[in-house]
Amino acid sequence: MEIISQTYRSIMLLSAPKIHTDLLWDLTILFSGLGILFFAFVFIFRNRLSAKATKVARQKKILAPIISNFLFYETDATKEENYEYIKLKIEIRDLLKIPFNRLVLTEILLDLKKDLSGDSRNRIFKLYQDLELHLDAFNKLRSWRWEVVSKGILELTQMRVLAAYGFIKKFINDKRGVVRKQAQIATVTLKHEGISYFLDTTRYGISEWQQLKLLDVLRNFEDFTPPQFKAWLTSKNKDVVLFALRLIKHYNQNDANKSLIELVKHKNDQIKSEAIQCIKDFGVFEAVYTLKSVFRNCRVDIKLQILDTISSIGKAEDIEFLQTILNKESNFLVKSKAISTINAIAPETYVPTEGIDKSIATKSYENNVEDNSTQLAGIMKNNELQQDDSLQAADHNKDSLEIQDHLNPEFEDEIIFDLCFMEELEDILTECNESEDQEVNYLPLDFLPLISEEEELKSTVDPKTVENSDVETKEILEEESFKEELEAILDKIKTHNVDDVSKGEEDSELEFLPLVVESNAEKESEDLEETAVEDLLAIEVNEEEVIEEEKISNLHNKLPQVNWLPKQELESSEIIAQKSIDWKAFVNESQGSGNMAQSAALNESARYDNLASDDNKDDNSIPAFYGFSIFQELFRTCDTESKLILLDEILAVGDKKEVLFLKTLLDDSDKKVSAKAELILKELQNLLTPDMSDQTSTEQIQTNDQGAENPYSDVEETDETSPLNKNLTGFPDIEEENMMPLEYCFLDDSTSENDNNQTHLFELDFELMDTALEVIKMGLPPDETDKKETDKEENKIFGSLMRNIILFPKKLKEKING
Amino acid sequence: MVNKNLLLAEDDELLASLLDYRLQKGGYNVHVANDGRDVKEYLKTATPDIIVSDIMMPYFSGIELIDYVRNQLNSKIPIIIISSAGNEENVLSAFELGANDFISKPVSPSELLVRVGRELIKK
Repeated sequence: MEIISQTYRSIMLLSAPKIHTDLLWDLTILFSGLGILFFAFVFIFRNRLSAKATKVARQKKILAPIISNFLFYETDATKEENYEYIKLKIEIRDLLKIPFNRLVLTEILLDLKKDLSGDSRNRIFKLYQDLELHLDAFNKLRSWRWEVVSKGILELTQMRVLAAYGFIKKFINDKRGVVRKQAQIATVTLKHEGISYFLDTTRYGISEWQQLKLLDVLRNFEDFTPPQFKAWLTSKNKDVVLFALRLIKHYNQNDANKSLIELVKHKNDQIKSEAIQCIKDFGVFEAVYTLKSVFRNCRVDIKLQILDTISSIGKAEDIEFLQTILNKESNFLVKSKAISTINAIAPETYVPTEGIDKSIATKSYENNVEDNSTQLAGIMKNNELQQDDSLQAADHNKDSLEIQDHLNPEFEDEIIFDLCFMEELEDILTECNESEDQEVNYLPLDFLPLISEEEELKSTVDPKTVENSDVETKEILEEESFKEELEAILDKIKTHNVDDVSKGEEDSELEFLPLVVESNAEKESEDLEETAVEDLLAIEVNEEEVIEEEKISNLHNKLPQVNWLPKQELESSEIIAQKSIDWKAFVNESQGSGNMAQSAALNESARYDNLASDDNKDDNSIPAFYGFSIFQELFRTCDTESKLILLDEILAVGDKKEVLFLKTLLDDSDKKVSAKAELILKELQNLLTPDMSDQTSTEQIQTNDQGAENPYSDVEETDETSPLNKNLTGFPDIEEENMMPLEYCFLDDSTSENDNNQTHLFELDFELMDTALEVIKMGLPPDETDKKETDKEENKIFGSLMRNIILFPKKLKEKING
Repeated sequence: MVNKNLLLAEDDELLASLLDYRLQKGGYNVHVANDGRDVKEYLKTATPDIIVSDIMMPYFSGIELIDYVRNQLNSKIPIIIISSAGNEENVLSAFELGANDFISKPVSPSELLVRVGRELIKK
């Protein structure tokens, strides 16, 4: 048992508080009583309310006929009706002695006022006061309870008791918000002048809802003449100002422009916004300046509102301001609004740009739009031109696409180079044009070769004058003449239209190139000039250009006698001799046929020949057109020590180009420089002796070709009366005729450049040389030893020639388009 | 116009009493029904010359009343609708179902009297 008792010993895990049972009973009774009491109160009050409602409904049923009788009583009623009316009046007076009946009657009238309109409603108002029910409402105004006061004000307002106006308006600035708002509405409702009194006296804020209710009251007024609300724009109560602005806008009182403009500067954004809205609605144009002034310090929504207003009242001079916003404003909405505002003032200023296919040419359309303002005839003509332009643009795009299709890294570099080159040229020319009216400044054409132009200058200017002038004057003159030529080239290249570019223009472009005479024996073996001359013959030149060329040729006649390169004999000089003969033959041919274009082209070639010969006259041992010395530009800006160092460098890296430059340094004012230049010149000439011998051999080739067959040997048949022909055909003897003109040296040099894959913008002519070479080879009498091989290769050459001729237009177009 | 039977269906007793007084004064025999059930009961037993009904009524709305009269009773009794302002959808529905006229609250008893007389003349 003990074990069991131990086993089942209870363990106190939970311990409940020891509460007396009586207390629990007491609490139970208490809460039950409270519950019963609560339900009893609910029951009692509900029954009371129900009983009261029932009593009111019953009383209403009793009073409703009386009220109906009073409401629809007619003065022209019958005697019975009059008797009934008087009887009811007495009866109701007895009823009104009971407050409950007064209360019920008031409720009835208030309800009927809601459901009836017209004359019946006015009778209700009259009946209300006739029954002196409004006295009860006045009593309510004296109550300390805000809800009672509010009910009294509402009752008096609804029953249109005008006598209550004086009592109610005192509550306009009441501390109790509900009473105050009820009084504000009552004041405005009861009398028309209530709005003025309210705006004058109110000190508290006017909520948005309250403003709407007041506005609704005013709107429903009949025969209401609103006061000039601008009077309250100066109120110290910002809500009054705001409400006045809204009332001004509602009643279109647009005689407060000055105040509106001032309120745009208000610190309160709500007032500012409302003033801007008024300015927009009334079209206050003089407010634009103020709007622009305050724009910076406004919030985004106000900025948008200002821009919207400017779009309505702005003018063209405001676009600049809008552009400034567009550039400086970071907010997207404001920027977008600025664009729309600009477009509102000046339509179509900004057109859609996003997602637009820019490859589609729109020039034609734009031109059409512009031409609409011109005369009809002009329109028709322009439309034709525009169609051509569009076709050309389409061709250009097509060509560009073709070029892009064939792009490879090599061509890409060339194109990039050409683009950079043209941009730099444009910039230089622009700068030159700007400085033309001022003074002649240094033209930064450092990157351009000047030697060819320098020689041209020598030919046109008295050599003595040139020698006596300083270096800077030379450079300026050279650069000015250069500038004109560059402008012409730019204009032609910019057109990008192969069809429109005449070959005469292409020839003029070639003037830009330096005429370098490098007599390389290997290159001279290539016969290039014939095809080149053929191309020149095909060039069509305008009459004006021809006249200019004639002037040049006349100028050449005034120059000293042309000196050709030294005549030397060489056995392998047949090809070169052929070139020279062909040249003169073409001259004769062109003169005979009267082809002015050909003559002009040939005159150009002759002009270069003369320039070269002039140079040779100065120094027979060194050809003139070696090229441009890079050291010439470096010498312009450096000091004496640097010049001496550069002279050493000339000896190290210099070639023929530096020889001429060194000669100019012999006359340098600095004796050190001139002495060292003389020394370097001698050393350089010694170093360049092999090159000189090469050139000498080339000249020997030319002179050794006297006995060669010449299909164009009728040179002497040319008309010598022409000054042009005098210049070209006035060669001293046959030996001189067989000499290689410097033009071919240029071509030869170009060919060598082409061989080195140094293609550039004027690569076109170099490529022509391939065809010219083949043509000349075919025209040449075959050497006896090479006769068989020549016969075999002739077919191949002819085939490639035809292919080149066929492909020539396409290549020409591609090269011109860059 | 005298002795024409008029059914006034209006749940607001006060307004119904007032209109009743005015219509009776205008010479009509007015039967006031305060809800839709009363209307239905009355229509089973009598055929008024004209019905003036509020749209919003308990148990049986004015729209249902029109449908009941037009489709179930197949009657062409003129029906004038009384509706609150802004309750345009119901008014349109009432006209689609066959209501003859419409008057909005607050009601002018004199105007209602004129409209009732006009509808009876049309009939």
